[in-house]
Amino acid sequence: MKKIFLVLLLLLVCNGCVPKSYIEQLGIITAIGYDQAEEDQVKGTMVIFQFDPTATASSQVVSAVADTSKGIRFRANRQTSHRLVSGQVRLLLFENKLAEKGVMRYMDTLSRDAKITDMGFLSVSDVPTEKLLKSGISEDAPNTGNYIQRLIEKSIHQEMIPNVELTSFIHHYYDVGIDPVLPLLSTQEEKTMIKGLALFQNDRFVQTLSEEDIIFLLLLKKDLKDAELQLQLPNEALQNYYKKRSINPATDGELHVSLNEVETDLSIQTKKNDPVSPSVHLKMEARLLEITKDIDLKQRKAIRKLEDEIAKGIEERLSLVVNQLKEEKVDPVGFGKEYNEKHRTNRITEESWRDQISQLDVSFDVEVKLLRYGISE
Amino acid sequence: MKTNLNVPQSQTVQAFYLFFIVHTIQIGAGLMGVPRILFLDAQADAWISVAIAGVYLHFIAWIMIKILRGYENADILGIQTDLFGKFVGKTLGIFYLLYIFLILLSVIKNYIEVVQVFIFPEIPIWLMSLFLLSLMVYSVTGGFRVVVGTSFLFFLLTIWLVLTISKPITYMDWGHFTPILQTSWTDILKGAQRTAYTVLGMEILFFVYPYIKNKKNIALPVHLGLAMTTFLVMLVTVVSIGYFSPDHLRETVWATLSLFKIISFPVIERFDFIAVALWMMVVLPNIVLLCWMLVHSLKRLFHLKEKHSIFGVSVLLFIGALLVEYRMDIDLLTEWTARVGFWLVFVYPIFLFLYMKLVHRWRRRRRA
Repeated sequence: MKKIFLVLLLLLVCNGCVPKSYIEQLGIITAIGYDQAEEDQVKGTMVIFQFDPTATASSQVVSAVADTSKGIRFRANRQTSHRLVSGQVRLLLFENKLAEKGVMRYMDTLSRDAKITDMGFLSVSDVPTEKLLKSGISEDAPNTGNYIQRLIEKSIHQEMIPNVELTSFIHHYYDVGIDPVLPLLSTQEEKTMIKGLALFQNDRFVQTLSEEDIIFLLLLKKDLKDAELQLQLPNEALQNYYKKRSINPATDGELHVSLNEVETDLSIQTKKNDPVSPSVHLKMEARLLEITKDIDLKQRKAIRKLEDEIAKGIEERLSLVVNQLKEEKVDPVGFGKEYNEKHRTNRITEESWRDQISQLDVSFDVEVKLLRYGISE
Repeated sequence: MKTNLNVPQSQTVQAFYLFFIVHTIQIGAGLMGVPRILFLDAQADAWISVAIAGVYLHFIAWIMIKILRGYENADILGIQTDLFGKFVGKTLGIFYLLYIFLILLSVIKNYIEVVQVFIFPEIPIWLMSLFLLSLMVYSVTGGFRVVVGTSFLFFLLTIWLVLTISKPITYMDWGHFTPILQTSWTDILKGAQRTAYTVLGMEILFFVYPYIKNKKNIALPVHLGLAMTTFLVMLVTVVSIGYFSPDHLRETVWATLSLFKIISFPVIERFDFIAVALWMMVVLPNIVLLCWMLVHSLKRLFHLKEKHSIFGVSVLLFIGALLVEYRMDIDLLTEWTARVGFWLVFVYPIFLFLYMKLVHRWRRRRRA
């Protein structure tokens, strides 16, 4: 009896000691956008999710200006009756002007705060993030922040953009010889879309990689499993293999091919003592989805020729992308990291690599296999 | 003080339980941060440090068992008085006491710190220490068998946490390990030495030996327990080095717990909260076994009644826990414990063994 009484007493006493969080009283921040404000201050916009049994619209967007990112939450707390908590932040947006100055100072609080998940997505936006988050266009998601999060999640899943979770950004930021990338968001008729890829020098946003080039950067970054690829080839590259009896005879138009189910096997070789001349070997299997000229696919030679042309086309595009990277002195591929992992001599450092990037001389070797081409020949 | 102990049959346990005793007292607060500690010294080759430390553990265990086999049914306190005489033996015993107290305090402080950082920043220190200490008092008053039962039970309740590491493994970057052996051997050995805090506690073998029923079979469970410990330390070290970038790992205080941050299940979005809470079950056998060692030694050295010394120890721990406030002080405490522990647990037994051989031979010769 005495024991039971003691246990009950303990239960009662201990209950009061840990602060309680009632879910109705919480404003759960799901997305944060940072914009450049005047005088080095930062403007934060937060999408807040709240559980209100009576209301139907359960999100709201709050903005505040402050010096630090935690200061934003502090200020924003005065604009809402809910207690703001950041345990569920899934999306972090940075305005391009802010990202050009470096995002790591905002990242510090994210990795220092044990409450924030490492699986949130990061993005750069070329319109003020406040405008993005307040636009209200969200398809079937509860709010715009949630819509953007789903958009990015889907794009990563479909191998349209690389992984941009907080953990991989921090990983690439800290690793020597590789720079992080983030998706660049923009609006099209008020609706948010992915416009390209933001290339970073350390934590500073320096240049945009256009939407069509993203896939070629991805080819260099990792093995793809099921990606899609569009390519333009020289107009007359396949003229020997046009169908003789065609309802739709080959015309003068451009030759475009579209591949899907692209599966790649990437290997980057580096030479001893020479970090700036890696060679990329890329094996690719794909399915031909679309071709704008009527080719006689029954001929083995035609397929061979097409494969060669595609390989050549890809090599050209890859070197164009690498040239762009060289111009901006960024290395999202991790050529420097690749060298450091293999070699003990003449190792690169964070500082030396930045200058060496412009001397990069990458050679490409692409092998393409078109295994399938749909149900028509 | 008698060299050999008379332990009633009702207080002894099978040698099989040594696996749990040795393993659970080693794994605890240290494991939360060990990848970073090793990485600071041995860089990407920290896993070699762990391997070296693991081999050394087995060597020390072999020495310990040799020492214990030199007597019929003795513990370290009895052996020391037998070898060095009453005064020196007791002084060394008091050294052990202080060391065990330090390690006990550091385990409690480290865990409370983690709870405050990860889950409840507002929770007062006194409350958390009260929770831990009340559980400790509860099991230690139950006697040796209850203490062993605690370690057995909590091992089974928490070992499944190992499986959740599969998710961080998918995020690993194996390139972080190559080229191997970039670090100098001195740094790697230094790293091996730094493992000490994580694997401290195996000296419990010196204390529980009289309580083991079938003393012939103790080698296997002890070595298995040590192998398990080495495996876990190796696992978290390797995964952490692969998962974090070098500079990031240098800044991540509790790398093992941070690994849990990316695990999420459909019903539990943030598994790290669960992991930190569950870690209490990892830490508890630590505390209970260490406290038992303290109480047991107090009884052996000063004939203190167990009930009195348990409460005395808890009050001292409680005060100690309240006094150490800053993270810096906790780190300092941990570092000093690690240093003292290294010499006491991993170096001293070798000397003790050699000295024991010498003394025994001398005695035999004199008798003959």
